[in-house]
Amino acid sequence: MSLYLAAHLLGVTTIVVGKNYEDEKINYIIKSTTPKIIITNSDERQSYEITPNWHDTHSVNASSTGDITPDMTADIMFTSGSTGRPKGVCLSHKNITASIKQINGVIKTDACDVELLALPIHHSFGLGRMRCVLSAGGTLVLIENFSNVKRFFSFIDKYKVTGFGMVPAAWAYINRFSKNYIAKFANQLKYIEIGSAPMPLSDKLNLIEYLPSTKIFMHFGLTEASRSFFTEFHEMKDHLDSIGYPCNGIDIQIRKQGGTECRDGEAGEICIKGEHVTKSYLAPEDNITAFYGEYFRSGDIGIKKNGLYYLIGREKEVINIGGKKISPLEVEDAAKKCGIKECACIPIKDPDGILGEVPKLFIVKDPVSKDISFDELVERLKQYLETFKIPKEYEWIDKIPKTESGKIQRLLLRGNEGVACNNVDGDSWC
Amino acid sequence: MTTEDKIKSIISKALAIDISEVTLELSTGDIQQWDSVGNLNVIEMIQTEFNIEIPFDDLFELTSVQDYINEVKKLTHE
Repeated sequence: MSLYLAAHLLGVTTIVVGKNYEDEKINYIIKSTTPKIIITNSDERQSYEITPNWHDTHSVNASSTGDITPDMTADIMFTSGSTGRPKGVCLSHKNITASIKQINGVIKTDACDVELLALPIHHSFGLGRMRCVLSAGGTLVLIENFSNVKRFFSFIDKYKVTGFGMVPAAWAYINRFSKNYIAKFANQLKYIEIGSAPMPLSDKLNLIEYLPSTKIFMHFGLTEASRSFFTEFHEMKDHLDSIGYPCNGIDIQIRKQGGTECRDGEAGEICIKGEHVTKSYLAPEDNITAFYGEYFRSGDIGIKKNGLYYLIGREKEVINIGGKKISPLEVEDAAKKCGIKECACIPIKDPDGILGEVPKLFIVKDPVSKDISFDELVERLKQYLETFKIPKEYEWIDKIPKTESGKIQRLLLRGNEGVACNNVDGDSWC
Repeated sequence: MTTEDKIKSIISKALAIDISEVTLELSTGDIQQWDSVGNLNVIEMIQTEFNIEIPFDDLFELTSVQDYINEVKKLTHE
C-alpha cells in the first residue's frame, strides 16, 4: 500500500498485480506493459526478470515528488476478461480523483470512519475503497479476506468498524456461517458498499432486515468507469432490481448499435461520460470501438425507465430471441426459484432456425437439483418466465466458470457449448 | 491413523499445501490457500470422510485445525 502511494507521489505509473495470479496472467501483463521495475515479496517469482529492488536504485525523498499532471497515467488496471481477454485500462490521476469524489459523495465516508478492508487491493473495488477512506482521512483496518468469519466479526467489534465493502459472494459466505449475526452491529455500521457482481434479491432483503439503519450501497461500474451508478437498498427498496442513478457529474446515454440514442424504455448500450472515465486502453486496437465521442461504451445493455437505470446484461451475453433481448440473469433467477442452486444461461443458435438465438441453461448438480428432471424444470419455469424465455436446451455441468469475485464467465461456456474451458485469465475483480 | 492425523491430511489435500504446514493453530485466513473457497473444501471433505454433517451453529466457531479436530471428535463421539 505504501509503495503504491509513494509511487504515485513520484509520478510512477503503477500496475498492481495479485499475488495469486497465475503465471500466464502475470506474463501477459508484463508483456503488455513492459514495466521498468517489478517489485515482489514472493519467493516464487524467480521466473520473472526482477530488476534491482526499488530501494537499491532510488533513494526516496519525501520532498522529491515527481512533476505530476492530472492527465498522467497513474494506474494501469487489467479488466476481468469475463467477456474476452483482459484489457489494460489507463487511469489518470484525474480519473482516480474524480472517482474518489463521486464515491465519497455518495457513501459519505469521513475522517471518523473506521473501515475494515477485506477486499483485495489489486482490484478496482478494493483499491477504490482504500483510496476513498484515506482521502477522507478515515482509518483502514486490514484483514486478509472474508474467509475467517469469526475473525471478521471480531475485528468489527474490536476496532469499532463503521463500514466495509464486499462482493455478493462474500456476503453469501458470511451469511452461510453466521446468518443474522451481523445484526449485532446494526447500530455501529454506518455503511456497506457492495459491488462487482449481481446480488440475489433475497440477500438484499436480508441485509435490509438485519441492518435497518446502515446505508447499504450497491454500485455498478467497470474498471474503465468505476462506480458510475449507485443504489441504496433502504431508499430504493421498491426498485432493488435497478442499478440506480448515476453519480453527480456523470452523464449516461443509452445508445443503439450505430450510436443513436434510445428512447426511454428502449434497450441499448449503456454509455458513460465523466471525469472518472478512462481516456484510453493500453493497446491501441482496443480503443477503436471503445467510445461514441466522449461517451465510453460499457458493453452492457440497459434501459432507462422513470429516471432509473436497469441492467439487462453484457452485450455479448444478452440473448436475442427473435429481436426480444433478455438477460441471462432473469432465466437464472427463475431457475433458482425452481430449486436450482447454481446455473448459467447462455444464448445458442436456435436449432429450429427461426428465432436466431434461444436460451440454454447449464446446471450444477447438487443433492437437490439432481432429482429434478429437465422436463420438470420446464414445467416449474413456466410459473416464472414467459414461454419464449424458457431455455430450449439444458445440460449438467460440474462447475460454472467464474471470476474471483463470483462473476459468471458465460462466454467460456459458449465455446464448446457445454464444455467449461479453463479460465486462462485467472480472474479479476472489477 | 488418528483423527488428528486424518484431519491434518484432509486439510493438506483440501488446501493443496504440505502437511508440515498444517499445525494445530493454523486457521482460516492465515494463509493464502485457506481462503473462503479453501474453507468450503475443508468442510466438505471432512464431512464426507467422517460421514457427518457439521451443525450450522458450530460452523461459526470452527476456524483452526484444532477446532476441526475437536468438532469431529464430538460428532463421532470419540
